[in-house]
Amino acid sequence: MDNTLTRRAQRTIAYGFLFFILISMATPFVWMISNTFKEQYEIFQLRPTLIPEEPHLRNYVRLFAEFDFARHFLNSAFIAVVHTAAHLFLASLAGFAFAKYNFPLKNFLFLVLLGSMMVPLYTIFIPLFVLVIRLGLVNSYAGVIIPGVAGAFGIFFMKQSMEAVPNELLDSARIDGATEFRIYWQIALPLVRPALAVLAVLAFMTSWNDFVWPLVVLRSRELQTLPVVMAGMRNMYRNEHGVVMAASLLSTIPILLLFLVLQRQFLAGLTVGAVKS
Amino acid sequence: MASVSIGGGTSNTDEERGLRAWWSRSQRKVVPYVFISPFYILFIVFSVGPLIYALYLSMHRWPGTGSMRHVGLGNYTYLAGDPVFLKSLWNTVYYAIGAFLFILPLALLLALLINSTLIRLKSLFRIGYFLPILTSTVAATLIFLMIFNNQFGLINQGLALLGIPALKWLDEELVKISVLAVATWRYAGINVLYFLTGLQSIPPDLYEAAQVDGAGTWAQFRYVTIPQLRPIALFVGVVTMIGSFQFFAEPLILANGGPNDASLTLANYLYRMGFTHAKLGYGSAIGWVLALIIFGLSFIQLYLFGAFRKDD
Amino acid sequence: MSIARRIGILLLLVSMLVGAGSATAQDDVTLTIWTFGAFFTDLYKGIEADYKEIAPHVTIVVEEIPYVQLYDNLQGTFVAGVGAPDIVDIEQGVISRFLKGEPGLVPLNDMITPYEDDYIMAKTALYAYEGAIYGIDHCLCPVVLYYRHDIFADAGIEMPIATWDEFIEATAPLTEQGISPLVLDDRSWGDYYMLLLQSGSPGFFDDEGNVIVDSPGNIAVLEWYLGLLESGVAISTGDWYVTWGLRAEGKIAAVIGADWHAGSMKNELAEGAGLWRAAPLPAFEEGGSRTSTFGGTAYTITTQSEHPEEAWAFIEFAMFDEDNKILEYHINNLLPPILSHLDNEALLAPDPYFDNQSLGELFLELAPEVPFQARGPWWNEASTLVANAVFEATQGEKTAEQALKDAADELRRQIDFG
Repeated sequence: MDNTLTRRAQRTIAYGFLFFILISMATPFVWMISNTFKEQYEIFQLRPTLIPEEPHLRNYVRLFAEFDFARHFLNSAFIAVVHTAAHLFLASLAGFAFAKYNFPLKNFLFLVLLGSMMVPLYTIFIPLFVLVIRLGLVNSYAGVIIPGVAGAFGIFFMKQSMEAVPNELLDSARIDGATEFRIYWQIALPLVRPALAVLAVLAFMTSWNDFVWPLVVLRSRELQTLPVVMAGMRNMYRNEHGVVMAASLLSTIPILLLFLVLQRQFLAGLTVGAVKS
Repeated sequence: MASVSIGGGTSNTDEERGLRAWWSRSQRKVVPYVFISPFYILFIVFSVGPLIYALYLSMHRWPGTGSMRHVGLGNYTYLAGDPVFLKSLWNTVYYAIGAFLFILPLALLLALLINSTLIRLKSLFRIGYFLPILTSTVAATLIFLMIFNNQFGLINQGLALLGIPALKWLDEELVKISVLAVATWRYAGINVLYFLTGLQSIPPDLYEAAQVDGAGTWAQFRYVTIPQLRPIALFVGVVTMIGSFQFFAEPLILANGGPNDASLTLANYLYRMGFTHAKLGYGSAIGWVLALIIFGLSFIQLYLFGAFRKDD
Repeated sequence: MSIARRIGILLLLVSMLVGAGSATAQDDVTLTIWTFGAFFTDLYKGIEADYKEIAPHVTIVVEEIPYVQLYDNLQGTFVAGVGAPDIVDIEQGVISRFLKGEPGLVPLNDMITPYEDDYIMAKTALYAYEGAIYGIDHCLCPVVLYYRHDIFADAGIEMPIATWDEFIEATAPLTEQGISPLVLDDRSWGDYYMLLLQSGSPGFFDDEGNVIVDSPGNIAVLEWYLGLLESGVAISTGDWYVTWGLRAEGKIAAVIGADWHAGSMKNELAEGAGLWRAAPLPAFEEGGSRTSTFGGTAYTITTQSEHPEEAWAFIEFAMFDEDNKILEYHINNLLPPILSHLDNEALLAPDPYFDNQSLGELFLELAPEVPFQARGPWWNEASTLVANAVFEATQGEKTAEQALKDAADELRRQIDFG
């Protein structure tokens, strides 16, 4: 059998499969884009159109004019940025500690950390909510951000990356009299920048898309995030399908941009994490 | 920031010098606890506290106001005979098995193909597969209803072109498969990314050595790729296990947990009891059972993968 | 300014003067309202300025929260014992959980009593338990038959039709043309419930709170419902969006729906303008009830409110000032459940969407017939189980009788469990 031909056949099959899956996955998204330019009745057509019959921008206009999209977009952005920054700091600091120190109860504490990832949100939802009300954190960004800011996933992830940092570098800094925090901040952190990039995208995405928690914590319209406002566009008495689609499309843009900007580092970063796990 | 100034500052008095000496001796003992403390403080306040309160609630019947009725383990024994609980437990197990048998192998296959030397446009595929997880569930609802509809859905229209009669994707027999399809759409991409990173971390010289030993493509996959992927596979496996048992949004999106509770998950049922029906005690009991299931299965998984054998 | 509004303002002024004896009456009061729909927010924004003139010391803060989360939030504040707003719009579908235990809501019986001849008291039953009325519904939500007048005229069918038997007979030609005379849901309780109430059943419970899901009357209505689906008089689509699509294509000739459904039609079926009209529901027997009720959202006051009097004063203004109710009607076709408002010219005006028919006239005619229903704290459990029973019966997995008996047994078991 001709070797190059086999390879060509393999390549054709591989591309065929990858594109088949890509098209399957992109279809709902493309359809959503198309729906943002349609009237409600056209969205409901039983033989749906991919190209709108009479495309228009009314859904976008209403999104900004009636639903104050810009305001909610900024709310989401503010929460996501603060959450991401704080999470990166706390997760890398704890990850550094787990990777680079030996201390009593370390293994036990790490098991607790793993276990915390397994607590279902809905199991503790009501007690947690009552607690947040009692602490006066309801209807504040603090109430949205604080409970989840030091998530175990990020610490676990950063621990894996920090382990790749050579101990010799840390020790020589200690000999120079640097404090442990300075060693973390000036030596370890720059070395795991790729991993931080990964965690930044994941943390930003988690916060940006978070639906359940901000929904119950934020009551005032002015404070609410995009997913909250989008959820409010649908109920038994009134549905704004076209506007929801437009909002959904626009709200993917920030993460997409972040992903595109960081993707080179993203992959390098995940690699660092995986090497030592 | 205080520790920075203590270490970096200059001091003259003996007292300060003594303090500084003490600190430089002992800070390595104290500092790790300080560094990890934010997580544990928040965890104790916002998870352990609520978890204990949920355990207390699970021993009672209580609609959230008025007096609590202590029932001991009554809520837990009631669970065993609750047909909807058992149904949702089975549905959840079904989804978890589906995730392991379908979503993860698909993600691995896609990652292997993207990683192979055959393929260019790697960035396009990575982003394309990642896109669905960014789509809001609210907007996805309508689209997926239109894809899976029993009569007019896009899939059935496609089947009609092939001369295949319409299938009832949203009825009891097939609805779980449809939910799994939505979950695949949403979560395959992120697992592709995880696997890709695992694949890229495999040192190329391992493959070269295998080739020298005369290993074919399959043998390289079997004896190099699979063992080297173990760390990332463990990570993906545990995350998938945890995620599957907390599965919540997609069954609601597609079929509101129905029809006849055929797509309802444990997390959905827990929510229905705890909120919609205001059975805080019973809901907490379901929550604790759910937590214990996840705990047990995750640790079995970690054990089987040998995560406890080596000590860091 | 209408006479009604002048009187309203006068009454409020009097009540404020009476209340002025207490030290707090002059203090600034902030009333927080939680609501779930933009149409309610629009109402409150629309009447806020007028209310400021009447009650300058009262500030209204409206917080619009998505439907599901609003009530989860409210439940959280009841459990916590703090944080609840003064006024909440509680939708009828979620009220039952708030009737369990010691309700966190203020009984409004004394407040509504002065209006009991004018207010359609059947609507209070949705929010009542053990004699206490916890909610005052915004809307009447009478159910009518919305139909394609062109299709009915082409087939030579004269509307309105007196009974369901006649409807079934008269619409037979439509079925032959591939048009479904009616659409009914096969996987939820809603359509069944509307017809159940129309048939004279109080719903899933009798007025003493006993489960009647498997009563002979309820079983008979479900059997009849299945008959409509089996004979092709009605189709089920499985999805609401398909129903809209088929209606747009003229494949469905009629639907049963409440007043607010007219608002939904204008929004989701905009190109159907001029093609639809509304008629009373055909009765189960000659002279029987020609309407039902579906949906509704009630004003409630929480027990945590520090200003229940002021809260009621605002509700009274929003609810019984005729201009405000007309404004609300214009926002989302929500019809006031108040007899003296129903003959308002604005409500009786011809509606271009409905072929210049006056829907208001129809609703006015049907308002006194809006049926009673019994609800209470177990209604959510009941509706979940009945939805499953309707599905099992329509799928042929069980007979109507068996499906409802099983649902009723499970419901009784859940109530025993508490």
